[in-house]
Amino acid sequence: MKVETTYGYIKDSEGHIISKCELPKGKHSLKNGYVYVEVATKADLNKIQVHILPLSPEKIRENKIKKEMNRILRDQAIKSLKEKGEIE
Amino acid sequence: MAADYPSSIRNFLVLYDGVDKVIANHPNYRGDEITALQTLVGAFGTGQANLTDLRNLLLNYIDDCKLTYTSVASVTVAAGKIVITDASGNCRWRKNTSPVVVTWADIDTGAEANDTYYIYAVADNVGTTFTIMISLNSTTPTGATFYRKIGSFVNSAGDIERDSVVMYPANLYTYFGEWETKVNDTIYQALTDGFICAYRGPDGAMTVLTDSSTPPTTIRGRHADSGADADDSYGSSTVPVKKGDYWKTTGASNVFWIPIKL
Repeated sequence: MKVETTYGYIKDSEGHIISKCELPKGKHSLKNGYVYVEVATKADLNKIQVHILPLSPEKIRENKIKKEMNRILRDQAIKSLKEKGEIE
Repeated sequence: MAADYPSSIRNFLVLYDGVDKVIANHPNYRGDEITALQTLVGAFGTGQANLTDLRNLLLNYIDDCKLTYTSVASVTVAAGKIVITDASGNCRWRKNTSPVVVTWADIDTGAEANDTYYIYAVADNVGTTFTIMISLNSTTPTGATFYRKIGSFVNSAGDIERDSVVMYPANLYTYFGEWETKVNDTIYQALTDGFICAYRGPDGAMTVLTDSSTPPTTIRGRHADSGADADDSYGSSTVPVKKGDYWKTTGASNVFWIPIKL
């Protein structure tokens, strides 16, 4: 790919913007399946939003479990310390 | 010529007109004293070849004279000592006691352009110091006789690129450049070897990726913390990057780059 303005971004095969770029002018290698799009200025680059991959249902479920596990452990620790009179 | 070069200066016999008769020993005595390299270096070892070796060793001598970025229009050559030669190998030993700021006024020929420029220490002047010349020519600056290439830089879009300033020989001096603040989710190319230092706040995941093509997809550093809870922790990664490789971070709240300067 050829970089002419320094500023640009890369899209994957699904059209998602996966990253912004600030690269030296000239030729650069681009992996298969990606497209480089150039913008004129740094200000234009700042307007670009990188696509955030949504969490999978499995990941959402695991995060909920971890949060609940941490909450239960925290409650038990507080209860135990209160019984020992170490905290109020 | 005798091989037993003296280790100290001799006191020659003073001859007087009309008083002394000149005998063979008088001129022979003086002829034993010194040859060209001994005049330069002093007595050393037992033969001329040793002195030639010593001179060749010193031809590569450079002490300090570090080349560093100063601004978009100048670089600086630190004070130091250097041996500078001509095309025949004749050498001049020069010393600058204060830094030299090098600007486009020091270009050998033509005007500033967007290209790679080379920095030369030049010893054509009379005296003990050296001057600096900028040239597009990678081997021979225009108009110089005694010169030595000490570094280079890239001029891009009318500005000297900070990370492009390098000193020769490349393995002589290695030091860190200035910290640079970078942006998460942005791909950069390393113009020198260097390190990424990135961190993130509690409850999140961060990756640092770098390899030889863009977008970089090889994870070299990773840290994660799940759930907003009492054991929340910050995470950080410090990852080395090879010159010319691409790098980026994801999920980082703060990203820094520190180049290794040569």
